[in-house]
Amino acid sequence: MALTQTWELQGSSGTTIEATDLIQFSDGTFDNPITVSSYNDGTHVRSSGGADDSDGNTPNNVKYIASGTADWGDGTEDIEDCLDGEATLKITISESSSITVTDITMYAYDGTTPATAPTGTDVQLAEVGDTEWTNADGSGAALSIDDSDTPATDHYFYILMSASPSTVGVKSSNKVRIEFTYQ
Amino acid sequence: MELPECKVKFVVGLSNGESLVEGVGILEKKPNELSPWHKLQSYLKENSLTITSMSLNVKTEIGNRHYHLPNSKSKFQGKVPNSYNCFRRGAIDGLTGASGYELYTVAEAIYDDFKVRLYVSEIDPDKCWVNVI
Repeated sequence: MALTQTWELQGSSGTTIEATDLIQFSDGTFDNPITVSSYNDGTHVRSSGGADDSDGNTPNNVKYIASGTADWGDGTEDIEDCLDGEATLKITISESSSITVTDITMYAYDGTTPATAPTGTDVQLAEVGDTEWTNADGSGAALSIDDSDTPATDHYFYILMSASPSTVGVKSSNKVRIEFTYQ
Repeated sequence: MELPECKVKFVVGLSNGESLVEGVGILEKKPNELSPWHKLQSYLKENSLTITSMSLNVKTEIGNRHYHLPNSKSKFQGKVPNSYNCFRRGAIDGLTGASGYELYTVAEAIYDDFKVRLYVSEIDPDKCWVNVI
């Protein structure tokens, strides 16, 4: 087996975000937009056909409040208190042989040029254990994720993610990228 | 997303005169064992050896490609590195319904104050880039 990478929206059960799926931030109701300059009250997985793939999985929602705080269901808390299972995303990097994964970064961009911020959107990212959010708009502002430098076949990373529109409209051209070294 | 198996393989010359190829012999890739690179590191440590040369080899539609870093037997009198490293650098897009990836095998020559990195594309291994960092 070659290297495999999976994105999962966590919840009471995880929802795998397949290649043609997208993560949808909403006002709390699937397919409902977020007011400009507000952050997400709902997070879902939307299939290419428009279905809510996370329906029934009670997906986690982590909402940016301020630079070091968020609300993941119990009111405003310091993000450093967020547990693995409470984070938005579980990212898995696997190989059949035991590898290390290092120099990991994650960011959002306009879908064309990694250095360019996403269009009309502010994306906040943090790794579980971080004390502050990273406004990860473009590769130059990427979130740095801790090395996983003990050889293993599976490596797990838990990421808090929150987004806010700065303009009206669907933001479908933007992308989220993870970069990493493995050996 | 499952990336394709890497086609570009490292080849190292060792201080005892031995040559080892990623995926072959003691560096064979096997499930649940150390990756070939980490097997090499164990072998070097157990036998008090060092890497004296490194290249990346790949067979493409055009032919066999051999990308060499400077070494002690360099044809071009290049500065001999203190050590070598090899890794894969990946970038994967997700979460937005339009997945994609980039993947490079990277050979690195390490000097006192800088590194020379040779990137070979796993998508099109006829293409390579060199960076000094």
